[in-house]
Amino acid sequence: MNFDREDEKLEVYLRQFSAQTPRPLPQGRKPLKVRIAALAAIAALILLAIGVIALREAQNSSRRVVLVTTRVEPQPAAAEVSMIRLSRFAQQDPDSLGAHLDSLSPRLLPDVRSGKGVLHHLARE
Amino acid sequence: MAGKLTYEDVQDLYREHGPALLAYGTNMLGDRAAAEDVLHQVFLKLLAMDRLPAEPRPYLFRAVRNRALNAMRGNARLSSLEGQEWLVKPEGMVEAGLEIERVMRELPTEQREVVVLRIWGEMTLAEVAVVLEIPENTVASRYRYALNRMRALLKDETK
Repeated sequence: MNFDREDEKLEVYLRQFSAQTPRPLPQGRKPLKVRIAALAAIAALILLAIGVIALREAQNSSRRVVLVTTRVEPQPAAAEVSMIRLSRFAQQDPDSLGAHLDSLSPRLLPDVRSGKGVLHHLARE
Repeated sequence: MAGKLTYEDVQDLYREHGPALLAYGTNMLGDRAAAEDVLHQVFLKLLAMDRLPAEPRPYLFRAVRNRALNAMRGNARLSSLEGQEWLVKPEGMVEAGLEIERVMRELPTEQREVVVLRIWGEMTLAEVAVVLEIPENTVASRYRYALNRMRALLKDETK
């Protein structure tokens, strides 16, 4: 097609007006390398979190063992006043049961004769 | 421009051809927002491809055209172009710009798309023929009719 001068003039005139810019392109899918890197980072974070949780669990379980150990330690005085021991003691030596209980009581009961608490006042009365 | 596709390649193409593609889509659909949606669909599809087409420009215009035609089939209300602004109007030429948009609305769609591809797509008539998949003579004929009609409608602006 041969353009005459009038056509060319009109084209030049129209081209003074450029087309408007569209709104920015949405992010969409990232390139494969970026997606792989993001997945690797997420996997590393998950592994790290699992490691930290496992470590804490291990520390907590060792503490629990210590607690159990301290709980099973017998209280000497308390063990002596158990019903089984006292019954056995009463059968074997009934006369000295009272003296035995007197000797145990200061080790088991609070000392109400010293201090300024309510028990101290009640003991004086 | 054939080669391994990068995100930057696609962004560069969008910056370079986005305005002309938007003008083309708006003139086909008669709705700028719908044209932008079509444009984004085309470029997001491009992002999912491993390689850029050997000739990205005709590919992009063809892709916008195909998606616009699909959208038109799905929505009969589109294509009026009334009230749609798609040209940048330089200071002191706002009225003239609006007049061009008005005159473009008066053209039949097949003439209008040839004008947009030729003027704002900066294509030769042979390239327009490739995009529209029609003979170059048909393109030339449509373009001739379109220019004559525009000249008559634009009155004194080009004198």
